Amino acid sequence: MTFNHLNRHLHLYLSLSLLPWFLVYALSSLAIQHRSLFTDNPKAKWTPRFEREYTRQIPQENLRQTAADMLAELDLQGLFRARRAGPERLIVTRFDFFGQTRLTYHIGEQRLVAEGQRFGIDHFLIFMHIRAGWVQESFLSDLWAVIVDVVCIAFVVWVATGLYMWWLLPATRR
Amino acid sequence: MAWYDGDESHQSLRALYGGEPPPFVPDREEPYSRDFGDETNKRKVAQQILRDLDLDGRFRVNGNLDRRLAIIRLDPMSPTRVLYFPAEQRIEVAVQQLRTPNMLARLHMRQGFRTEYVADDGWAITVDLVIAAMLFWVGSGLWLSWELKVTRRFGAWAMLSGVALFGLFLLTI
Repeated sequence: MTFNHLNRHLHLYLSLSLLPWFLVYALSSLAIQHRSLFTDNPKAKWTPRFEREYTRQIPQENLRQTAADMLAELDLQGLFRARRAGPERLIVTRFDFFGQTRLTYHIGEQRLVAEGQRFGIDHFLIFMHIRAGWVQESFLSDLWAVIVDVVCIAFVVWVATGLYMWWLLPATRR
Repeated sequence: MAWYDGDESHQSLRALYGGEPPPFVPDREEPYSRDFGDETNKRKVAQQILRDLDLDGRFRVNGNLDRRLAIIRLDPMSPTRVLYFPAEQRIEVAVQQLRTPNMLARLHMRQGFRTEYVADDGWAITVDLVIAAMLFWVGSGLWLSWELKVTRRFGAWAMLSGVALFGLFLLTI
């Protein structure tokens, strides 16, 4: 196999195998840049799911573990973010590409409020666009991050292999 | 394209090389005595201040016209912060030092058609062109790959593998 063959095959197969990500970044950029094409109300709309009494000690350290325990107790295991919103509130957001569930634990009042966010095509695309990193304790989430890096490298490879192929075409070079 | 790629990498790997924005470094402090009369619109005041300082362009403003205005001139290379103290008729100017990961992140997140500045609209139009080009590449690439009979079978296998992996992610994470 010559270098020209290798170059062409790399260009072709890399693009075909990463096609869904390429499409996602294009469509999600459209959703970010022209939100009004997708929705009349870009603000996230939270709808109440349940509210109940709840008791849990919230230590200052290891917030993720505390949040993971809360989610397991509520049978909501999965990817999540956790943060303290002041001394009296803990907010845990369980998310996937299709929606989010937000748990707000009012520590002093020992009250737990759950709200959900319904599916919206704009949120769906933007969630995929911004998903990155190795923060979650999930192999598949880490694998997604690896693929994102592969897509980054692929962009550079497409630029380089495309320039090389274009240079080999005397008819369009000038 | 390479620009966006560099930035995608930076978003993903930012933690590896400390991506917090650098602090604003004081540049100068000087008197500023323009009379704004009864003007209550802080965006108008901020824009006039930036024009007087030869810093006109996309900006964000916070604060209070009675006490202090904090204007951030959103320069993609080095954002500049102007603090205006109306009672003291004084301004402080500070500049954020250029750091490549932060600059890439700023360019990545810059959206257009939201200000009155032509240059910003120009940027937004190029972003739209990139989006259109990406969608076109997907379509034309699929067409071209289908035209190549020698690679059609292996190409279809590569594409279906990618789609299957993507589907797995959609259903599991």
